[in-house]
Amino acid sequence: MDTKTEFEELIRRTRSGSKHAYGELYENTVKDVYQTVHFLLDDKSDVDDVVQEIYIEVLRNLHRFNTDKPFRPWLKGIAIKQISAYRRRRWISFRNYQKISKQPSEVEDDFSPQVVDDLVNKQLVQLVEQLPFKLRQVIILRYLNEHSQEEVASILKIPVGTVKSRVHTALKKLRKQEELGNIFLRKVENV
Amino acid sequence: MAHVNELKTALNEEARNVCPPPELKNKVMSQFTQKRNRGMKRYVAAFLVALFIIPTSAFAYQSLLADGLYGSFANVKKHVASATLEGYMTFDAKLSEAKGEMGKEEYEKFREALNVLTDAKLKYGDPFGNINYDLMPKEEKEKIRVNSFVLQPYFDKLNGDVPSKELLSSYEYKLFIDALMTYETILAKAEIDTSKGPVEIEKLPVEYQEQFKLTQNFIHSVYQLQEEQQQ
Repeated sequence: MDTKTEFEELIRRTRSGSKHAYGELYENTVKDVYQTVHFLLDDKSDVDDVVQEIYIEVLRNLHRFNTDKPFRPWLKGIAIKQISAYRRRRWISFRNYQKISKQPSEVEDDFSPQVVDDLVNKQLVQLVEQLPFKLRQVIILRYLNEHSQEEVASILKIPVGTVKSRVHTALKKLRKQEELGNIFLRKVENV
Repeated sequence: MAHVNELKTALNEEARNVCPPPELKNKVMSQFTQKRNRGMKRYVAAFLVALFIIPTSAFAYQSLLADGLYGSFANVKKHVASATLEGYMTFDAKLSEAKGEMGKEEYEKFREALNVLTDAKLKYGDPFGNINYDLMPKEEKEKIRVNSFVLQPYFDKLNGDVPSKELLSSYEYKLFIDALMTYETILAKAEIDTSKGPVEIEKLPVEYQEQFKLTQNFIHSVYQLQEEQQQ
């Protein structure tokens, strides 16, 4: 589904002041943006605010967008910029710190196969969320948003080679963490 | 790679429960309205500046600094019907300010560039001080264009704005100058009295509306950029 031309029209109308077109632009893109922000912020209670800021930035910068290029990666670039700005503002907030230290206790309850599956998923997501931000970015963009390596490179404004090596490092880290985690899980199952 | 697939599944499963709350849209949309209103205010201000500086460069002066460029207010009045003494004085004040702020040499450079513009305004300007650059001989037009590249940074400075030349790439800066000229050309073609406040697009002949809107949006976006940089 290439919605490029559809975006083009919405962008054109938004630029000339149509609130309705902007609303549609929002509707068509927000889910993706929202999920990205969700996975990249430690404090989920700030997701709404950051998403709101992203759309303000979109509005502010829309005149610079080159309609020959795909819209989603451009939008994602703005999202990443805002997320980074947010992180700079709050990088050492006490709340975040508290949340991280609470996380392991979420894994509890009984262990039917479905639950174990869910648990593995949850655990994996949790591991992703514990990755250093730079690695987490590429994982989310690449495997949640399914952007190509080239797109990720242009969104993050880094060379494709760097994207590749970050993905590689991230996967390696995840594997390692997961092995440790699996041991933990199996132990619990055996109890 | 099994592992990557697992990862994708895990992320997508988790993402299924992550949805933007409906009320977020209202918040975002209210920003749209605010933003546009703010933009319009800035635009009105910018427009006044355009009146005082650009066309006013058509209005102005002598014993008064302004008269050095135009001969006298009476002379301006002869050419530019909409010129007001107030506009003339404001322009003079702006020039005094410029003289105070710039070094002598810089001020001379500024005046020289301004002279080119004011001469053109008197020669080619319509009764409201706007020039239809399309009617100008090509060479003259190019002269004004090049001259504007020099002048605009001074205008930005006098308006207390971040210099557009620094904010934009050289290509964008050229576009900006062209847009300012196109803007004026449309106003001249449409015979709009620019002393009456902001131009309402609906009042322009239909054939100019689309181009005017595009030009206006572009100029507006540069002003917006300047505003952001200032914050």
